[in-house]
Amino acid sequence: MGLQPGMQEVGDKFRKYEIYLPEMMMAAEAFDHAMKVLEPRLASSGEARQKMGRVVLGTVQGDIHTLGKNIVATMLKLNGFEVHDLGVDVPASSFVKKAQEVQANVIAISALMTTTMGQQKSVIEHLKAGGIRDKYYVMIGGGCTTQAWADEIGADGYGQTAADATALALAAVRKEKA
Amino acid sequence: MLPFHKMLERAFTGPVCSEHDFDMKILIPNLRKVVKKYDIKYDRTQPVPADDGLADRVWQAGLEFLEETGLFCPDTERRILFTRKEIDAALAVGPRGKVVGASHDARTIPRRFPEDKTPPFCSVGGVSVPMSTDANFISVVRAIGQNPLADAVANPSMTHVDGQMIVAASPLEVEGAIRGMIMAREGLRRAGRPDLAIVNACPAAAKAAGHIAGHRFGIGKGDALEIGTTAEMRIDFDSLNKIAFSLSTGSLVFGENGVILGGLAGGPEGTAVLMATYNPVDILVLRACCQHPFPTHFDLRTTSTRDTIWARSLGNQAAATASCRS
Repeated sequence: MGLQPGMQEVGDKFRKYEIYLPEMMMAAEAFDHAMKVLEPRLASSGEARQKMGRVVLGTVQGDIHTLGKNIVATMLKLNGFEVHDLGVDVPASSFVKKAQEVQANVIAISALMTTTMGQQKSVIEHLKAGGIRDKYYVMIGGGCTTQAWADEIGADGYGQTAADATALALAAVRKEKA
Repeated sequence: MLPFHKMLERAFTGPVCSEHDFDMKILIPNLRKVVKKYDIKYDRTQPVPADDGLADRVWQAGLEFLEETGLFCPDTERRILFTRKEIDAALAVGPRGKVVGASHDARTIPRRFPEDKTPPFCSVGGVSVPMSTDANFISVVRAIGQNPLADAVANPSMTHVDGQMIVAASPLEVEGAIRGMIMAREGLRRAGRPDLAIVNACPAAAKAAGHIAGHRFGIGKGDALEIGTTAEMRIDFDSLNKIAFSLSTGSLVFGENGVILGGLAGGPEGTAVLMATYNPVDILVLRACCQHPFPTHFDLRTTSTRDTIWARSLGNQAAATASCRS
């Protein structure tokens, strides 16, 4: 698709610190607006937009930090994902409900503080309690989190940066499709 | 200065606005506009710039941005707006020579101007550094208290209470806030400086309930609550609750301005402007006695990259230069 190379360039420039979140958000908005025009035409011609996958993401309950989550959301959109952003201060059960509702491939859980990282574990426990843990690739991130923490709570992936998160999500959906 | 309750009233009566529109239609375009209008350009060869003209332009850009943008209240989805007259009036009566601590450990926070020889106020500590045990917490605070250069201490972080991980907004956070205050006071007592000010008497990220609980267990009038905007140009009810509480108890407020370079502020230019903007925001909204700026790189997670140092230096220079004239 003609828009994709431009979006990839935006992502590349962001990774090189040549542009920042405002420019990325504007590019993502432009992309969304363009797709609203193009998608009906694609559908009427029997084609469909190729989406990489669906991601449900949010910042956990008790945590109101938005920035890291927003950067990840924007990077995922730029890489062709359908992103369902639940916002901040999100209860564990809301991640699960939304993932079921939209048939997500990936659940991305952000927590910045040591006092909120435990809620990432809680999301996984809710998935297990519902018997649906294996249906989703669960990745975590945020200032206080580490690979060791991801391993301890049984997350599938840990991303230190937005680029890491995007790479993890891409790898997960490619593996799922293979 | 505009009374706190009048400012608060605007959170209920200001223009209705979604968070998305605030970011995309107001904050980002307004900030980009003033950066361009005032010709603010990052110079990586001068991490600590000494260009007075540039500092003046950053200051003017910051004030104009505040007047046109206001703050967003996510609880009411409204903008809290200020007129230029209100901003100028707040700056004219901003904090001067506030005293923190008590008795032998009382210290005055000096006003400092560019090229000022007055030693800076030093709050020393392990902010956000998690302590593995209660004993370590007390020992670290004691060690900081013994530092003769420390005018105040900043507490490290507790992660557990009686072996249980502290969970934000839960009773464990309230218990953690209480325990943290008791241990910090004990650490300072062992250091022989029992009345040294604690400037983050409860972590900024803790909910108002923690701040209020900590107050009952050792936060004094010479201590400060560290309170910040919740994200760029946003203030929520929980933060406003903390401010309302501190105004009633007489505790001081350290205005926390952790602008994220690479976030909604954009690059170093927008970050420097926001640093300047937060000076009157800290007075008008946070009712702070002191501005605590620490722009942080979004990706490298540090305050000491070249561009964050540039933004911090310039924002501080802008506010200090303007302060000379008031």
